[in-house]
Amino acid sequence: MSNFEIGMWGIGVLFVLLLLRMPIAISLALVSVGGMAAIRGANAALGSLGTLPYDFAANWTLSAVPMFLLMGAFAFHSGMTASVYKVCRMWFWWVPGGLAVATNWASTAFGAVSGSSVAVTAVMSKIAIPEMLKYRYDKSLATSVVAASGTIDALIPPSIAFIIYSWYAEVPVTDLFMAGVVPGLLTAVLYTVMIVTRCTLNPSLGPRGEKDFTAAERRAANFDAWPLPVLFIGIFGTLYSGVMTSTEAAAGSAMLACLIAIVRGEMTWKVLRESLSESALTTASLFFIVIGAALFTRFMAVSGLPHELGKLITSWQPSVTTFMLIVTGTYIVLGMFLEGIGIMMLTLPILVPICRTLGLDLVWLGVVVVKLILLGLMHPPIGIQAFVVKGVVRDSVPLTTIFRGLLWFLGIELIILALLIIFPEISLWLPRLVRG
Amino acid sequence: QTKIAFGGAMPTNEANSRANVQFFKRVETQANGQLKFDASFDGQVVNYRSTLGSIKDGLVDAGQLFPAFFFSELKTLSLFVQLGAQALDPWSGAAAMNEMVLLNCPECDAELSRYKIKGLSFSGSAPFYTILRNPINDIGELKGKLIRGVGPSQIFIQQLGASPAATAPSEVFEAMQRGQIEGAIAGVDWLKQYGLADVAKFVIEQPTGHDFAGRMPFVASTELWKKLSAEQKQVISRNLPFLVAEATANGVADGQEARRFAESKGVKFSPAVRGYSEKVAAFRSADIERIISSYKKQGVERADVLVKTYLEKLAKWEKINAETKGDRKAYEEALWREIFSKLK
Amino acid sequence: MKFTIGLMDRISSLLLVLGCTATLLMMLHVCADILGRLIFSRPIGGTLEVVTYIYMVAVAFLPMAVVQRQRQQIIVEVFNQLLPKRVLAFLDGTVAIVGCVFMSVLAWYAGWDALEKTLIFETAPSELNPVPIWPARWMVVAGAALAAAYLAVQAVSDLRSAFSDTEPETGLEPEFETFTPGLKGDAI
Ligand code: NA
Ligand code: NA
Repeated sequence: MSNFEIGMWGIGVLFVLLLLRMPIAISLALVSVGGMAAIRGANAALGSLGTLPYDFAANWTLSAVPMFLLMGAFAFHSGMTASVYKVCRMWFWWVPGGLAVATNWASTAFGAVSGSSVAVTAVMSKIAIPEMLKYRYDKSLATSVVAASGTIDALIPPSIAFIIYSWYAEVPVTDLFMAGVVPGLLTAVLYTVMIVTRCTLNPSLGPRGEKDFTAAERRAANFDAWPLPVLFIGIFGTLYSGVMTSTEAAAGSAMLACLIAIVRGEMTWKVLRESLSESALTTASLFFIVIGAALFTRFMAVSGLPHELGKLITSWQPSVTTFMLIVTGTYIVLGMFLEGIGIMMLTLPILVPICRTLGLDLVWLGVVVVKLILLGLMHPPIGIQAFVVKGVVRDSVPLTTIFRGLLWFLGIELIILALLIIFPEISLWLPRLVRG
Repeated sequence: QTKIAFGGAMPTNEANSRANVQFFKRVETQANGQLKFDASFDGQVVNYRSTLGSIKDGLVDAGQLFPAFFFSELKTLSLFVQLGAQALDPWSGAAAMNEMVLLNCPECDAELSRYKIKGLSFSGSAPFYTILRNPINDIGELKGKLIRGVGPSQIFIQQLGASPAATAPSEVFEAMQRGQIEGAIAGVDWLKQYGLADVAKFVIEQPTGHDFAGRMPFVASTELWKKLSAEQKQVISRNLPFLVAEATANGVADGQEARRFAESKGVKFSPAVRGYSEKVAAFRSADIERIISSYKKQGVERADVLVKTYLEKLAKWEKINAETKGDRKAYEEALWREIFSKLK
Repeated sequence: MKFTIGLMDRISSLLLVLGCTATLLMMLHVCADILGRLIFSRPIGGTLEVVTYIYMVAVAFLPMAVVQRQRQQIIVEVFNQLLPKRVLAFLDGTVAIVGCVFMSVLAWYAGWDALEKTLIFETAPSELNPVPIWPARWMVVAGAALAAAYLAVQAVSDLRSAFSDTEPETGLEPEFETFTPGLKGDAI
């Protein structure tokens, strides 16, 4: 069997293992070790296994991952999500579907001080869904808006998805962060347009709210939300002013969130302990997948498969649109069964070398890839955003109802994706502007 | 036919990698199809930190090796990396390293063979300069400033009155752009490769020493070396002088290219900084003693002898190169005569 | 058996506490370094080395045992609704055996590597801050070995439930309440 064939078999076996419910990290590592053993001998494959995990974890730039996760955890525990939702609700009460719109923008705003979509969704589910159901919102709209708008977090900096991509593709993370801002805001705007239009045409989806607060109360709520802009300015100030590097900025932001919690009197022993352990546990299981992917990358390189595929695709000379259509299709299929970082780590070892050969902009590719992954989080049969919401609402809303609501958001997502692919400037002009 | 899997950590377009490709072509042709290289670069199969393990375990049969990443594992070899400051000219520096390590350092052989590695070549690189954000006239202006450097550069930076910073290479551009560091001691090729030409305004054009990192463009596994026939070995050895010269020439050319590029962007090159050359000279002479005593403490018993031999080899090669006056052919012949013909 | 699992739980909790400590220290150390640089123009020596070679390894590997104990490894759940519980339990048990073998092999090879690095007292590759980093090599071994032990326990429990039609044990209760139900470590 040629090395190329071993590579192809490896991918096939990988999918079988994944379907058999083997953890993604172990599947990746197992296939890679087996494949490298077939090509270069058992010793070579097993030797990598002993040293590679340490070598990949011992990484300065990836230290931004636990630090941004810690910042997010501190922010949640100091009640920032709740106060932001309250403010958004008081601003958008008069809009058709106002509570849904408020949820959408609260998630977006919170995205600026959090690195992870799934975490935002979990918290917003607890806060926003009961509120919308109280005002007789359509169950499918109420749940799906939380599930969908949570994904915006991964486009708005800081973003764990971009940090991991930047590490993998060797693209400056500050560029990726900037490149995500416009697509993130565009998503929030188009979601709003869709919600308002639907609720105007069919008011029973999201009944118009009533003004149940005084101007003074709104001022108080605005004031009470001060930590979010402070943290936001802190993160961006440190990221782009030049006081620290983007990696150091993550630790600085975590520290700032910690200080805010202390100032607000919310930093208890319990909060500290929970925040730290959430950050550490998430980092550990995340890194295990990344290490599996690193092994897989090495296996792919040894087999020469990405190289051969790249040659094949360059000789075939598809247009960028055709190529990206194929990529999109692949991600949607993969997104039926896989999630987030896993999907990214499975595809990048093949995709990035090909895109380098084709001369595509890797910052732009990063935005498209992250958007594609977010799409996957929302569609059935496996859609972790829907599952997270389901985990909070329990038996009161069936899963199919959540997915039915998400179809509307998926429609918007496809439009945004097309725009991102056809007009790369949407993602690229801001980083260029910042770079000067 | 023997197939050789080669793993390079450096980018494909880097000086050593380009030389590797030429070297492979020559060897393949001259071996009449008896040798075939299967090469990957960009750290795809082997990265800087995994080189030792990957060769030892047989993931690849040969690769590029950067001893600076293995201070603990390759102690004696790293002593010579430290001595890089003694060589101001890449051609002599590279030749002296080859002669010293490949022929006159049994300790180095022992260290390398612990990882089943047969050392076969060292290359020189573009000169290392102090690259700064702002022009200066006097080294006093660097007082208290942060400057990025690795290895012995850190000690030199301290002696300049500045503070050494250990910024990761991928963050040097960003750190300089934002003024977190005032400058970096780095290969002049960084001006282009890492984009420093966009953030630097001034380069002190005086070599601070040559390639502190130490680069081995081609090392083989001892198992591969044992497996090769006498003829196959001969073809490889015969082409090693070319590899060394080509990699060094590429490095020097990249440096000149980066310099032209930087100058077109308005970066000023000047050797005239008060007090600088005295500091370099003082550092170079004091550093010899520091290295000897530091390595004796760390268990390299023959540190003094090794350093002395190295300095002799360096002087010898400086003389040879002064005589050949930059004739590449003569340089390669001298490498063959003095070093690679004696390789076992 | 009960005693062994109790002991495993204690050790894995201790490792998690150490991982949390490393997270906290990472934040404090980097911030102190930044302040030192901004105020005194003198960074704290060795920050890059300690964060890279020690804290990061601690955060990545020490909590691994608890991740496995809580069955928080990210898996692909396609057959959840399709297959009967007993078949799922059988599948999970079999996968856990393979996983256990794999993690043991990982621990074994990482162990040899750690031993080698210990014997040469490996330090960070830095002239001014040669921080000893060999102890961090053992963190990989500790995390992987304990995760392998949990996989063995879970394999037994899954297979037992598959063959005796009892309710499978769905992982031990998490020690800390997390704010994200179903987060399962996916941080996208
Ligand atoms: Na975010
Ligand atoms: Na999906």
